[in-house]
Amino acid sequence: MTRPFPLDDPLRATAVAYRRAGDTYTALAIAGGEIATALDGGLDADGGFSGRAAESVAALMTEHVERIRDVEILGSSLAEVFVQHADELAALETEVADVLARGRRNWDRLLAAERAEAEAEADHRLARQRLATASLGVAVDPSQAIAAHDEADRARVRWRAAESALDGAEAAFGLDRTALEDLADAERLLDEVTVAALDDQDLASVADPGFLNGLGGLFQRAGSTILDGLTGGGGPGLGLPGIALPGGGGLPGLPPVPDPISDAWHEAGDRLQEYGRYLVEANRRREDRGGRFRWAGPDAGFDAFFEDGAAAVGILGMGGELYHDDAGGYCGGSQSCIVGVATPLGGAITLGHTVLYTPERPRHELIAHEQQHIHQYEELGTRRFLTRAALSFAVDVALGGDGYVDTHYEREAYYVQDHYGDPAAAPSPDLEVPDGYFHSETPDDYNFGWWTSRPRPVKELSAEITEWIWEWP
Amino acid sequence: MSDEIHVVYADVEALEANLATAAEAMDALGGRRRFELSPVVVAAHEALADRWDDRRNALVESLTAAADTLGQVAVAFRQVDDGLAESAPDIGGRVP
Repeated sequence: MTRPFPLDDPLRATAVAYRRAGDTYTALAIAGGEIATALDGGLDADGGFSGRAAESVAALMTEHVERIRDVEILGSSLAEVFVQHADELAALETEVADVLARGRRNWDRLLAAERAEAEAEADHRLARQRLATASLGVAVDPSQAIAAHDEADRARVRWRAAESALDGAEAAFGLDRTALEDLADAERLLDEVTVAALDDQDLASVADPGFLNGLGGLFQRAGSTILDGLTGGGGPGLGLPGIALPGGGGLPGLPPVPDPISDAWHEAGDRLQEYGRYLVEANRRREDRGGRFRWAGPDAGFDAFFEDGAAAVGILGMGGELYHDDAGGYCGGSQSCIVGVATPLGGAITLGHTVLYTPERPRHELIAHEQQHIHQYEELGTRRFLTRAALSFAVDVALGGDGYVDTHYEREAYYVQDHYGDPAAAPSPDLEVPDGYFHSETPDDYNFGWWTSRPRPVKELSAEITEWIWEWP
Repeated sequence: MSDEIHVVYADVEALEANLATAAEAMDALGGRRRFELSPVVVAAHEALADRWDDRRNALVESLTAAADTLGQVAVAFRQVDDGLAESAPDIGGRVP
């Protein structure tokens, strides 16, 4: 019985629903505008009064029209929030459809690889049984025993190959599963941005609490003006019967109309788009490079989580931008380069395939340096890379160093950087650093002279021990 | 001169009618709609809708109160006019 395809669309809402919400608030904006325009157009210049009362009535009614105009602005703002969400979600929907299509292909591959592996294992067992049988009669016909032995060897090789193919298929399908989880995370982030935008909507100006009191005060003054006119300024001799005016006081202090289109929303949207571009780039890279390195092994989920998390910190948390270099093609290819991010030494830090660069336009030598670290990550996987880097750090510090520049992994990277342009020193998983090379001896040194203060034999000892750590099985 | 008194009842009544119409139109903008959005967005949207209804109701009340007040002012002016007309002979005024 064929197992059903186990992946589903992880998105919780549709772009269509958000567009519908956007349409509703566009309609609100239009209605608010029409009401304000109708009220504005229906106002006489003096509202039927003359003198100071007329000026006050006109000013207050203009403010009232503006309160309704704020409804129009609010509706436009909300419509923009929902339409922006719909646009972002539509892009995620496209990504999900692509990943699901690829996942179905990889799922078929995985099922086929499982069948092939089971068959190869059965063949191998059968060949071993034949070998055992032939071994019993070796004295009678040695050639049969030799043939059975060869067949058992070939069956074992085929089984190992089938197992390897199954590992590859599982890893590829695991990447699809991870990609869908990433897309679900991206929708969650999008939801958070939209919730923040909704929470930030300022409705205070839609109905100013002081309006009614101000209106009452106005008509009290208008009434006084009228009475003054009637009595020659002598006060209320006749009175104004039947008028119950609410409140009192002067014209309300109307708050300034806020900018309803939040700058924070735009910035968050830009960040989210940039992170979405990163996810597309990362998924493409995993597909291209997945089968060739340990990176696609059973730890692929953690590896992807680690580098996606680093990218989220760089892009969403620190305002970094994706960068594609014009030479070498590492940035945008084997690396996701995020520039403009503060790093500990002001240069760069490699976290999986994500590299955070401090310079906006990193030098080619620096990019090549980080590329060598990418090869190291791919060779070992994230957990082992970080563990060995930490051990190397401890050993180098114990030997009086800074824990960094003379370690094996940094010697490789600095060798690439210091010999940039030399094809023999190009970034490579097979790079050989000549004995005696140390970065501190190059003219293009960083200004950290204290790193080089140790005697040469100690530096070489550190390099040797950390290389031994690196090559630990 | 700005202290002169001049009241055009027709204009005041037209203004009152416009305010009342605007109040009714704003009142009609109430009534929330539900959308099939993410749960967290639905919650935030409903909170916003609550705030919007509160604000809209306050605006409608303001518009209605303004319309009522203008109507009362017009009535009061008419009463004052009538009272002045009736008492004009007693205070040496001219009979209309």
